[in-house]
Amino acid sequence: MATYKTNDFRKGLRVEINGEPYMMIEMNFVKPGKGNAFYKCKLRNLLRNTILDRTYKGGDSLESADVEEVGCQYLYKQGDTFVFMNNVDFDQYELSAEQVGDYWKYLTEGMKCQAILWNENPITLTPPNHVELKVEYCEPGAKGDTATSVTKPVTVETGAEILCPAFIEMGNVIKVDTRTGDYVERVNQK
Amino acid sequence: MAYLLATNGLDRGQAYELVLGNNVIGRDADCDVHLNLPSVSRKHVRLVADDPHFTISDLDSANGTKINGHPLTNPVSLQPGDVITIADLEFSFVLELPNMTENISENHRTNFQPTAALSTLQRRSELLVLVRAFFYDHGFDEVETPVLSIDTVVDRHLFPIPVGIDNETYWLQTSPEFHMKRLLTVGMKAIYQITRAFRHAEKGPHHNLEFTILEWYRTSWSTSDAITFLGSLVSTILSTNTHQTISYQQAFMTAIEIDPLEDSTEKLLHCIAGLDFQPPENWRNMDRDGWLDLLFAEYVQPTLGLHVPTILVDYPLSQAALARQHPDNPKVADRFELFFHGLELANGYHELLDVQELRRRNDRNNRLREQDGQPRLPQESYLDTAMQSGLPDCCGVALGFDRLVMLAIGATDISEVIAFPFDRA
Repeated sequence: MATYKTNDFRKGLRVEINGEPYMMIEMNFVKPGKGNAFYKCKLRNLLRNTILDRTYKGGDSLESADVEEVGCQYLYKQGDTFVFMNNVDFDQYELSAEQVGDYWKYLTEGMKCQAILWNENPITLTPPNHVELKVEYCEPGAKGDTATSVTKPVTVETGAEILCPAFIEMGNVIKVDTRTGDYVERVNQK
Repeated sequence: MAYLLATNGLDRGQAYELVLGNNVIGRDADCDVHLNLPSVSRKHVRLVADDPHFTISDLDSANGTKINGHPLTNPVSLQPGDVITIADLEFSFVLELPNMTENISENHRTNFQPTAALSTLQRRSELLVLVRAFFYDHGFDEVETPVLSIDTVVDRHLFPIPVGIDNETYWLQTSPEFHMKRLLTVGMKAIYQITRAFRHAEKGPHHNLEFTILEWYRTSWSTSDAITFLGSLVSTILSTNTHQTISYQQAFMTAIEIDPLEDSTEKLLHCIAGLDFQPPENWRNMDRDGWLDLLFAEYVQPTLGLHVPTILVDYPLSQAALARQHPDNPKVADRFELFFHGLELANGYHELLDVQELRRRNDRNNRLREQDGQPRLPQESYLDTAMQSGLPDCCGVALGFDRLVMLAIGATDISEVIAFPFDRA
């Protein structure tokens, strides 16, 4: 397995710490002109999504993690297990509710996403940045309420609640940003 | 022979030459064609070149391979011009490389541009004029000395860049110190220069491998003369109130109630273990200066110069570098540094004149470098000769000019003030 020296440290590096995979999301080099160099890093645990703050000194190193992103589509949910299929070789991957985390809100049958494999085992997924979801239920908006500043919760086809402007109605399709969980726009249907 | 020419993504325009026989393409570093992307399998696809026959087969990759849009299931024979899709990367299979000027990669399309705004570059130019005027007004001569030198500073934490010329190793300077001291030795009295310095393995929001250094020396200056001059230069150029002065010891006491000169090693270790931060895993293996640097970077430096430029004086003797020992306090060096808004801007010494002491410090630095797994650096130098023949009593200061520009415009990253940082050099 490859080793990264401090000089290789950069954002986006996939590394293994205490037997778990992490992604380096921030790296700050600090060094008094005549003194020791330090690398202040923020690392995201790819299994638990927690953030780790670590300082390394010049000459330290980290092991690379064997992390692979695979294109796949969401098939169905069975009990607490989410089942995905590799787009190319039709292999099936199973992820637990914990591994899927909040992304369950955006999973509709057949949706394309990326499965993250660590040492060839699926550990989590990355949904597309934007998904389109059908509104299954919402309270009707008050008449004339067209301002986008007034929001209300709506229930979408996956069962998740999304905050939307008051003019959204049942049967509408809305676009949602999966990185923030925010409503983006109403999708015009043909 | 044949090539794979990347036609999409950041590597667009990049050509990979194929060898006769087996070409394994994948994410593993030992692949013949190494594509370091997570969507590529470790061993993704194999291309067998038996000129003029080329056969390609997928190695059971996770994201698959396509030839002209058709999934590759069984090995097929390639024709020139075929489009190979490896995961999400597209390549054109060609026997000859097209005219490269028409194939500038996407990276180069944006990276030819400067990272600094044009208005910043103009501001930078004005600051150079102001700095030169300040030194002219104070009777300094501007000098120019080599960037490439047969000598190098021997410092545990500096990594000078060697350059081989005619079987001889030269070094890109980490500062113009040696040459400027040689000029003082032969009689120059007040000199400055604005030049380039190079320090390997330094990159970050406040570091670029190549940077602009403003360095000056004056003979028969007291340390307090040199401190006053530095404070006055910085507050004039940045239009701020006058500087304040605080000792290294006092700054530690105020920030974390540690006495860096007097406290025992046990107390220092106890303190680090009890602080709410994540030191490097093997921090206990560092030495006293390492622990002080760690605490300084984490707790002391961010508090320095929040309102006015702050000059830190009386560094521990173990961090003297090329400063002399303080005549009134044997525990500290006659060394000072200026900080503003938490940024380290300048470093000054009442210069060491004792050549025997220079040799002892070089010995120690090389010993520590070896301990760190770093190569020894040559200790023989023209500085040694200059000091033997009588370097006059003097003070010298080096200031990071790029950081001065950062403070002048309120930048948070050094790339905002440099036209072409190292990754675009």
